[in-house]
Amino acid sequence: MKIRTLQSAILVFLGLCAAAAADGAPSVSWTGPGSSATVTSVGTDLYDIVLTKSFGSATDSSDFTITSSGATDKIRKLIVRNREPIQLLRVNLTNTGTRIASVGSIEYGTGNDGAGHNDYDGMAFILAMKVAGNVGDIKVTRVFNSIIDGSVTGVIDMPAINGYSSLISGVEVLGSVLGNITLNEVSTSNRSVIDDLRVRGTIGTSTSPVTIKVGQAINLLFAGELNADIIGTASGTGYYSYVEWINRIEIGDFGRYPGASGNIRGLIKTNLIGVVSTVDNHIWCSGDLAGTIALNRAHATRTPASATPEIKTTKAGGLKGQVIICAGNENAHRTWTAPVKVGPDGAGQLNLANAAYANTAASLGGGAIGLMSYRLHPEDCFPVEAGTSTPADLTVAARHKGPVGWSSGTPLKVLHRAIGGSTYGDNLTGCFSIALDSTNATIVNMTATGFVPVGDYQVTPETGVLKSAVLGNLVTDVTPYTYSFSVRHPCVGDFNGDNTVDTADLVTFLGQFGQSGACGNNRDLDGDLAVNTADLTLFLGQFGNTCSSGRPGSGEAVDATGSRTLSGGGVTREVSDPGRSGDGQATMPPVLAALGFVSIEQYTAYIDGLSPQELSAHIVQLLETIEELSNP
Amino acid sequence: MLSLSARGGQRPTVSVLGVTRASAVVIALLCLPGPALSAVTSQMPAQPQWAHVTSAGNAPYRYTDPGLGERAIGRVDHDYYIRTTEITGGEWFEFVNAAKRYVPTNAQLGSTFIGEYTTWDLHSDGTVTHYLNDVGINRPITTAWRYAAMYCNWLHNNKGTDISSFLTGAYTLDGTTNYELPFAAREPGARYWLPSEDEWAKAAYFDLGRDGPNQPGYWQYPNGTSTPLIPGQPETGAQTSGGVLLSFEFPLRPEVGAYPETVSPWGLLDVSGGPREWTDSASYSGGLVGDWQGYLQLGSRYGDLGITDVTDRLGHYSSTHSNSASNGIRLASSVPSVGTSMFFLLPFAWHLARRRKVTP
Repeated sequence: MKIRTLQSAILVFLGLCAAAAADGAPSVSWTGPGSSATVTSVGTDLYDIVLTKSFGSATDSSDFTITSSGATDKIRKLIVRNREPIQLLRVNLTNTGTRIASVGSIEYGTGNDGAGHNDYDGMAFILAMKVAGNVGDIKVTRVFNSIIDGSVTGVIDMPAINGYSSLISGVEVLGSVLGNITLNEVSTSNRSVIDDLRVRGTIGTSTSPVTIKVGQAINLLFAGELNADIIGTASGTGYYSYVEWINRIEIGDFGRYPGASGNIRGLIKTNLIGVVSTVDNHIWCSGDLAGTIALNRAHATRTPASATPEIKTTKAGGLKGQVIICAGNENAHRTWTAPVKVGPDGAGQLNLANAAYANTAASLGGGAIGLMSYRLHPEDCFPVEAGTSTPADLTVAARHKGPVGWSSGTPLKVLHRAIGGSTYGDNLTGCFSIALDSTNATIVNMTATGFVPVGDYQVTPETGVLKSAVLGNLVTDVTPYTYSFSVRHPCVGDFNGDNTVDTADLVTFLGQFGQSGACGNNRDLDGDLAVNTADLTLFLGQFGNTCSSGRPGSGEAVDATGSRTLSGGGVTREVSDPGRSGDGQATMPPVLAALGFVSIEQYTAYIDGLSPQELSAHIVQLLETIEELSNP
Repeated sequence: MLSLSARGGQRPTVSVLGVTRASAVVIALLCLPGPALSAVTSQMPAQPQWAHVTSAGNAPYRYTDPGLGERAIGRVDHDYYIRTTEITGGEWFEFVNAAKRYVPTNAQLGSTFIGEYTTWDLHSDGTVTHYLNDVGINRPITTAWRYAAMYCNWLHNNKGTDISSFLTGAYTLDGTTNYELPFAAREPGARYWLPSEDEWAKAAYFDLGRDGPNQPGYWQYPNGTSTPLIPGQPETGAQTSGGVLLSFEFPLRPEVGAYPETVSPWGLLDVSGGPREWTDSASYSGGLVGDWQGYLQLGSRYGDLGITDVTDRLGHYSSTHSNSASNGIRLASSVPSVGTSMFFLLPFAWHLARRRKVTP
């Protein structure tokens, strides 16, 4: 220790020193003991610069200033060697009138002084980097108060050195940042920070996105476009795999970067937005919010209200990605009361602030916001909750407010009841092929394996099977739900799709008469899973009618009431599909009247009492009567 | 009536043994009507205070800048007033409401214009209602150079309401949209302005009696010493918020005047810490930063972790482009204002406190 003190005393800086540099080369000056610098020409106007603080020169920091001799000076490599662990090496990089044209890389040396003191034992800062053009790699521990007129074309990989975590503070890049940004830290109690980084161009590109890895916080990040994953310093899914907090990210114009796209693509993982009791904390963009924002904890209102965090895209339909709230799935943080806003600021802006929001994905831009564990989005399913579809080629889309998945088993249970039935006694899960949508993991598609029965349906998630997914991991069951919808024939009795219920349909109907089974039987008109006399009655009630639009098998949905305009016997009238209000109360068909029946009820009672042989004879009689009526 | 001005370089000879610098300032303030700095709370707007910087034609500080060579800074050939603290959210809020009718809507919604402590509602007719968060009433705001210049114009024009009140006076501006900005030099006759590098440096570092009576000089740091300030939170013994990162425990920049013992010989507070401050001196990169107009920004800021010994030091400068909303405002003026008189006391109080201090 005494030796080092003596060394330090000897090396105490007594004046301004300057490295020898050739004419036209950048010059280096410094203060601080134990410092030295070399400038080596390695090409036309191209130089390598090595800055050294020796071991034992611990009485003061070493502050270097590199000054360009002219606008064409370029640095190929700037190597810093701080062999004194307890002192700092700080570099002012041409904070003057003539800026360095470009810098290839700034990094620690990898050598040592031969006495066990490495080039990277002590920490190095860049204090004020002013570069007219591009900068390549930046691999020192901290960068402050710098302006790069061009782009950062390499990586920013900032090591934690000897108790110092990395930091970016007050850095503006007027071009783009095209490489990964990694801010290493000493530990989770001595963390790395992006305090203030402003990029007028893009961070990453749409075709070459980058990764920003930082531990404690992003206090301020402005950019024209963000094509990056922003993640914590730890791997995995735990707390430290998220940035501890983000105060302000603003991507786009916002009165700052004219013409910027304002798109966010990629993943932003943060434990929360804003620090408790701070103000004006948000993640904003003016373009597409096309990636995923995963908040590990709550997205909650604060006091005062102006301290409430926001996620916002000011582009109409700009929410194309996914926002996950409480991604850590901890009960203490299962809160969503702060806004997620979509659309231009003003009265028309969508303001979503709770998990029950009804806005469809289409209205948001295709994206969704999910509070763990995710709920069904009943207004955005097909059919919508309590809605109606047709049986032909039915594909049910159960959309959730976040991505879901399952590893094995059948994720959804499908129960059914006949039209007018009181209980959901039929398990028709097997009538559907169930799969995650190939392009949108919030949607579970249920594709009918055949012609599904009409009737009413209830879909519920299977406990322990259908899970909420966070960043590709199946975390916990989705929030339990019951999703209900109905299936109705759009034109009852028209089996051949000619929009008329006629003898051809009757023949078809009779071809399946007496059959039963859960799936694939489109002649079952009342959904009791059998083609029987009740269906015959219903069919005859529609006989002779013409549908004004729609046909079986088209997949065309009926309207919300299940009614459709039909015409028959030259009279247009409103009828209802079976199972709806007044189902089965159709007008007395002429063929039955011709046979002497006075009401549907009378006819139903009659045929219910027939033996199979008698029923066959009756059907023959029906066909003959229909023929007579058709050819008077 | 005591002659309490430090004009003429006369170091006051009043002897009050055992008094601290801060208490001396408070004693001086309590001698006169008006709010004392120590009375500032988050709910009560701080009363703007001005220091009167005299000794026109003072000698400059000469040094060799590694990049610019021989330099001389701090010489000012006129007396002027300068705010002891930066413009606060409370003051800025009044300006926002006055100027917004001339500012594009998208700018009215962004912190570049409205500062960090103002929120808004945008109405269907396109008008915007702004609200001030109480926590920002006494905290320094940051804004772009254009809006800082508009603020000066507005004061110059006695807070007029026509567009010319915002675009002319101290600086002639080409509009209210904060993008590219031609360099705007200070107009002769400006009543309020952003200090030049020299005015700022003199107010922060120059001491009429640095080396004894009638022996003026410059300190290296803006608290009348040549010792780097100690970063940390207020009321912990620390001297500056410079070098402190915002954190869970320290989520906001401190209120102005939160370090009352860190005071320049002329009475300036918060030169160190808070935000950096705009000047109207052009960037040394030919006035341009990139392809945008650039101005010098002076002082340290809260994020200067481990470098405030450099960024607080006399002669340090950096620059940024004019639309960067990263800097605060410390006004200078030719106009004595309400409350000014008490700050004639500050040099006296300051010297009173450091009377027996031996500082290199």
